[in-house]
Amino acid sequence: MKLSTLLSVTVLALALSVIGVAQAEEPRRILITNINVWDGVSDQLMPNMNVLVVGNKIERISAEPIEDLRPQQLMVKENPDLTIDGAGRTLMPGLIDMHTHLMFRYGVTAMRNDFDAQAAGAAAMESLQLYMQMGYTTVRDVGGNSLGLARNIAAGRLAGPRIYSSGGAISAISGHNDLAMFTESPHDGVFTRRGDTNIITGPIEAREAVRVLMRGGASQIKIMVGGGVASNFDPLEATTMSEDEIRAVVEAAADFGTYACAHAYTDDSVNRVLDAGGRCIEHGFLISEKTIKRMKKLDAVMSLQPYAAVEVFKDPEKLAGFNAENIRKGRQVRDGADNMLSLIAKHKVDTFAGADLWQEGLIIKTPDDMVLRTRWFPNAEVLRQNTSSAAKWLAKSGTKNPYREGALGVIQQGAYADLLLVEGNPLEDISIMADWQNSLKLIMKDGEIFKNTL
Amino acid sequence: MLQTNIHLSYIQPICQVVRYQYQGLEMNKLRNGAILIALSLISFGVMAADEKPQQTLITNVNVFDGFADQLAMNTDVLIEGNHIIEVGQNLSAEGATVIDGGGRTLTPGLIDMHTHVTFETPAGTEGFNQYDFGAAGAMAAQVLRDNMLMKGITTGRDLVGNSRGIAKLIQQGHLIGARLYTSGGVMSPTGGHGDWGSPTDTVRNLDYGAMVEQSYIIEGRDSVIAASRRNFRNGAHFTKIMAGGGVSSLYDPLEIYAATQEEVEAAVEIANDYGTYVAIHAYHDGSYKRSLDAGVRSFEHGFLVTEPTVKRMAKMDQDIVWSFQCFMSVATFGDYDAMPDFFTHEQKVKGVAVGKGARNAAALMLKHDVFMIGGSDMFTPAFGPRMKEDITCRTNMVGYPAAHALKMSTGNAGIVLKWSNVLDPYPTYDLGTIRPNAYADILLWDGNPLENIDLILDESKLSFIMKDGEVYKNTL
Repeated sequence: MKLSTLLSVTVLALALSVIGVAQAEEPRRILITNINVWDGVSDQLMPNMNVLVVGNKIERISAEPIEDLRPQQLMVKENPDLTIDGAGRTLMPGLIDMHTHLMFRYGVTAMRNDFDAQAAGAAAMESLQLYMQMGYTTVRDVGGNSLGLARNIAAGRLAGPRIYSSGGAISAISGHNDLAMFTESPHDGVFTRRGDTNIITGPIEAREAVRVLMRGGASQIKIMVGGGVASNFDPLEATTMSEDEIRAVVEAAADFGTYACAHAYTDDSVNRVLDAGGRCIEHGFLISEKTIKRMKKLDAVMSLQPYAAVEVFKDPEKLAGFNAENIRKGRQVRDGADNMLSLIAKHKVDTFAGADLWQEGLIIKTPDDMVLRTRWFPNAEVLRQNTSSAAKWLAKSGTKNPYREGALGVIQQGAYADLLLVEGNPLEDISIMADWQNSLKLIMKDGEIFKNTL
Repeated sequence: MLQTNIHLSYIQPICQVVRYQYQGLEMNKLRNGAILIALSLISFGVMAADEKPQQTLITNVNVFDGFADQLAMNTDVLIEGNHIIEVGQNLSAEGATVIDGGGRTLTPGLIDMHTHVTFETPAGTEGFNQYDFGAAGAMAAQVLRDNMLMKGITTGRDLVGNSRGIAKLIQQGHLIGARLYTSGGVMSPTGGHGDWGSPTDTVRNLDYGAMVEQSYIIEGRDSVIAASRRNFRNGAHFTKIMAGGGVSSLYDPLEIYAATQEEVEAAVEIANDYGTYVAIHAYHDGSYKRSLDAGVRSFEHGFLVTEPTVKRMAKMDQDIVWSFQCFMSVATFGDYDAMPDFFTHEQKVKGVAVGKGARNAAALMLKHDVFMIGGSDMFTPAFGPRMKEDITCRTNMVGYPAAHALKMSTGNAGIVLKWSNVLDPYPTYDLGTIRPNAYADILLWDGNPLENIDLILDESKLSFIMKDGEVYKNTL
């Protein structure tokens, strides 16, 4: 009897019989010895450890030498098992950036006027490769139609970091994701047509937008509640979604087992999100201590991106295309960020980090955001913001989480094998993470090696 | 999201090449300790006007110039900026970076004249039931780098598929990958080889592929002109129309005519107005004759043509070109039993006819010295990584001399690419050749591919890849 049932589906089947690969293979085993482990959680390294990776998971972590108990007769010719001598370097979890916009690499104007959606997807690959080289094995896209990319990364057809995609962020007319032109209807612009934004009015449309995104495979939802510095339609001080619109999104997301994060700067907008049941705030640079205490009480999380505020707006008067109003807002944000971060640290509000440096030329500054955060947090806490604390929230995507078979952001048994081998100890000197070209000797994602300069 | 207008120069080294086999095959990456790639820095921004362009002198190589039957021995090649300025013996250049070629063979970067970079999905032309256009673009970026540039294919000609935006990204230096010429969406009549809708579509509802302009369904002369103008407006460099049937497509038997005489003539007429040319998909004498009469210049497939048609083409010298897809016809469709099991009996019979006809056509084309190029038509994760096997197929399976096989993917290809004239995205210098005023797309091989064509399949023998004067691989 022919194997026609197995081979009947795609042209790939023909190729398989041509290439001669038929049966499933034994998962590859990689043993990393002689390392100090930062597990993504604790304040210290675990010295002199060994880690065994089998397939795409961490199988064992031990201070004792790990005897590889693979049966001797199953030799895999291609892709041999490896033993890597870490030579006293630090092994840590792959980094997670929780705030990027993959589909807007050249800025909103260029993506609207110069490049179609195919080009946007192709350009995103450049960003994804750079993230990987800097040690970011997972990114969370909080606005832009990267749903297809996320799907294909998860299926192993595209090479790059894991993507948690929100799809097109949800915004009201004149909100921060209203990217149509002045002369266009907000429902009609280029970005709406290709799913990079979702414009809603009222709770019914808000819920519908969530359903469309869930259908498309989004892992979490992003809403634009407050204004922006450089954007055209939404003043910084404005709150641009109503409470019932926000509540509809939060509830619809919860119905699917996932969560929503809100872009919001001010007391007014942040409190409205909290009133509506939202528990995840991005930016928040202008909020007061009272709001921060409320966030703590409600177990809300603040997503941090100080570099984008403090460095990028260091001298707003020097920024191209900034008018007097933009400059005023830029300064406000810069100064507010410093204040907000001190208070967040003081009140021990839950945090994670995503640099929001998604434009070509700025992506490469992403590790500098990590270094900058040491102004307000100890090194271990900064690193947790990009590992275990981030992963904790990624897991809140529930069944919309594309990577549910193990933990991310930690080195523990059964966790995904997303690992970095670093020259030096980032718990003592975090600046080595910004020197990634030299300091990152090994980058592994899902048990596959992306860089090895040992 | 914060928006800024800051433009900073940046450095993006890529230290690793990764090869992928998809769909459950084990991912296959570089081993411990072997870094092959030294990617030169790409600085983004305006170069100072008085900065002298970098010179590189490659010495001590035997050159295949893209045309000649033999190597030019013991030669040096001088590159300035992104193009070659001198080829000769015992060259010297003060201040140039000298690279000792160590007696290796230097060839132009390879050119694949029949790609489908936006169809890089496991299900090929069915892909848009699974992939949106963002993901298709991402896949194309991966192909252009991993399957093409990093294997020595420094230019591709994309026939069918909306790769216009992607071609622009490459041309503007935003993406690392092979240069891309594109026809944009192909023009096909309803039920032709570019109609990838479902049998249950209602009349005139657009399927996703048509919506993102992977193809245009044309009916009559006016729609051909409109589709062509749409393509040229958005960056196509030439156009393609379906003149005949296909093997794997659902609606068109191999033997039929697709576009009418008038439709093909319309395509040629509007392309001529734009100074460029038309490529045709067709298999048999009738559709080739129709296209030759209409003024089409690039002839793909043609596996069922007979000698009188070939003789006519030979008489037209370089007014026309035959584009040979060796691997997909001869190797893949060689044998009834080697056909995919999901092919119907009719499709298998069609496939066998194509395989047999391809050998026959290939022999005739060589015998009559028709002007020829080659393009793999190899896509999807199963075939995409193997594109160079199309070149070796020409020698191994239909007996073309190795130099001729390589010429089809270098010098001759470079000539045809220039047929785009004012729409040429790379107009300044030549492609596919090693001579002054050619782009510095250069490969160094450990060994002589003219003596052993299979050498080009061995990545460990490809020691050096340069495209546009930038080095992408150097294991010298």
